[in-house]
Amino acid sequence: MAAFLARRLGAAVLVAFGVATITFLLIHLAPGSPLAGSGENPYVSAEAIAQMRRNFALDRPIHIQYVRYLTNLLRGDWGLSFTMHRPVLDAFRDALPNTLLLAAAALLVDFLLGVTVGTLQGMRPGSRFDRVCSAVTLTLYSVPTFWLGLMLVLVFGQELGWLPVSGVVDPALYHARDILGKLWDRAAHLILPALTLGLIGAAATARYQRAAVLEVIRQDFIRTARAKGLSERAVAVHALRNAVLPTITLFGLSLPVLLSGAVLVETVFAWPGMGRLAFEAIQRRDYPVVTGAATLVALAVVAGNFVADVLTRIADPRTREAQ
Amino acid sequence: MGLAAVGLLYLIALLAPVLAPYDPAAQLDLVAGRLLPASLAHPLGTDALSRDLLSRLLFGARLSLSIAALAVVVAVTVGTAVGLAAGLAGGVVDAALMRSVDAALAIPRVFLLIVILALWEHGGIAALVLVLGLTGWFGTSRLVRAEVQSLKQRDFVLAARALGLPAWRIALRHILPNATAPIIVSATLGVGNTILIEAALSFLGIGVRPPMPSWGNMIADGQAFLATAPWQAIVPGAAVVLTVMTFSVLGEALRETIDPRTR
Repeated sequence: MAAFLARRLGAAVLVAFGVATITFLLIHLAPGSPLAGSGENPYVSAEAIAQMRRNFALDRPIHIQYVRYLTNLLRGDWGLSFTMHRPVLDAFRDALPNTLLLAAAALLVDFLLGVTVGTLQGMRPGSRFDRVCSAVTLTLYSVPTFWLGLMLVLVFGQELGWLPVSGVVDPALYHARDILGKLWDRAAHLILPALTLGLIGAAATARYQRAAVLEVIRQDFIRTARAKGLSERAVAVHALRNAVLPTITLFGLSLPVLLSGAVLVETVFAWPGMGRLAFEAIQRRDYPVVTGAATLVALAVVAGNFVADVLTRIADPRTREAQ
Repeated sequence: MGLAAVGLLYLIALLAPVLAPYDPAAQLDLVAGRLLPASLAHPLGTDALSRDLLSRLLFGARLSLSIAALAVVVAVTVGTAVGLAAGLAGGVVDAALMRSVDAALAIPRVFLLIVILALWEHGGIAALVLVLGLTGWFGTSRLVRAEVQSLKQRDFVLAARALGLPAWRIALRHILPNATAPIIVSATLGVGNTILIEAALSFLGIGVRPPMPSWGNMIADGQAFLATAPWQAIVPGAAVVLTVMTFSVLGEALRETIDPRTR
């Protein structure tokens, strides 16, 4: 296990390093400059711009900037945002919990719904339930995330008026509420964005899980279980334990996908998370925030892969012997 | 059936200039013609700039379908070339190519696209196609490599080699034709997926940029009028869903035809 962990950690560092480097190169090679806006402003003097360039170290050659960026990163210094006038890490500290909350809620919807529906489908392939669910998941699979969000806003926010459609809490009433009221306020704001992200993911998970159950259910030990006269429920437990393996891998791999989806969902629901922060930073050429966000994405990818590996090893003893 | 549906979609896209009742960019009547509901003159109504929604939808289909198809052509070409090279060369070349593909697959594609497209704002449609294609070939290359690895041990390839045919000829005339089936399936599913990604990028304002109509930026336009004119966002979104579904159905049907075990 120790050798396995060490190897994974090494690969993780490599991926994180690679992504940070690619993003750094992309953003510095791209046209446009973080100071372009100030350059067009008649009230900003040339000296002030030169001063800003020095302060942000933009006057140095690119390889010097790159080495500086990496050494600072290693020391835990993610730099100062050009546009927000605060450390990048501070901005992330505000935004990241919101995105993690959204991602966790979405994952819950995704896997609870996806695994349940997929397993039920796989147990009775060709049944009416299976066909209806297949049609639904195929449709959901073809729906753009942001559009599903808008449609949920339209139905539950606008027509029915049940749920709030933007932000994390109600800006006017939140602080006046008691603890239960605050909790409900947060939960209510979370429902629609989490459903948007979760439902689309659930469609993929269900299709995946259905295929996995179909694969398992044809095997001899299921026939044996049925032949022994076990109840369908007990058979389902046998099947599920084996069929859940590929889905676990999917679980780890879905983390980066969720983060990309979060950019769109956060835009639709005005959710103050990492996706929106990063997207706005790209448009403003806020180099330190963009490279920082990319490094975080890389860490998420690495963490997701790692979780998938470890879970697979726990769930499937065969992978342990193979090492 | 899936094939006929996809054909119909491309026919509609091709005939957009004939079918569309108006110029998709024409602001017809900014005073009295804004956000009109559906009527005989405007079957799907008009948008906030009094442009005819049906005309924009048809021209949007033209753009979305051609961008996706061209991007997939780029992706499949590059992916096939890399997969062939890795599978045939083996050894160090194979390892280097496949580890690079592994690393590239670790970066979320949408995130990479957002960074590239938001930074290079003035690339236009050609750049969009290229970027979508060049970020979409990793899966195909793996698929092709796997096919090549199993094909190159088969008797007819060994025979061709024994005859002393050059490697490129074996690759193109003997191996590639036998590997086309899975490539076509993955390309079909890839078109649908690319339409979804293009819609998302255009929605964010960094894919197809206004005034050119694309389904994604039409949904973005409609978002502001969800309360007063919800069809502005509903109609182009429904078009995306139907189109992507068509490609999924076709892809699944092709897969089942090729590999009956997946039924």
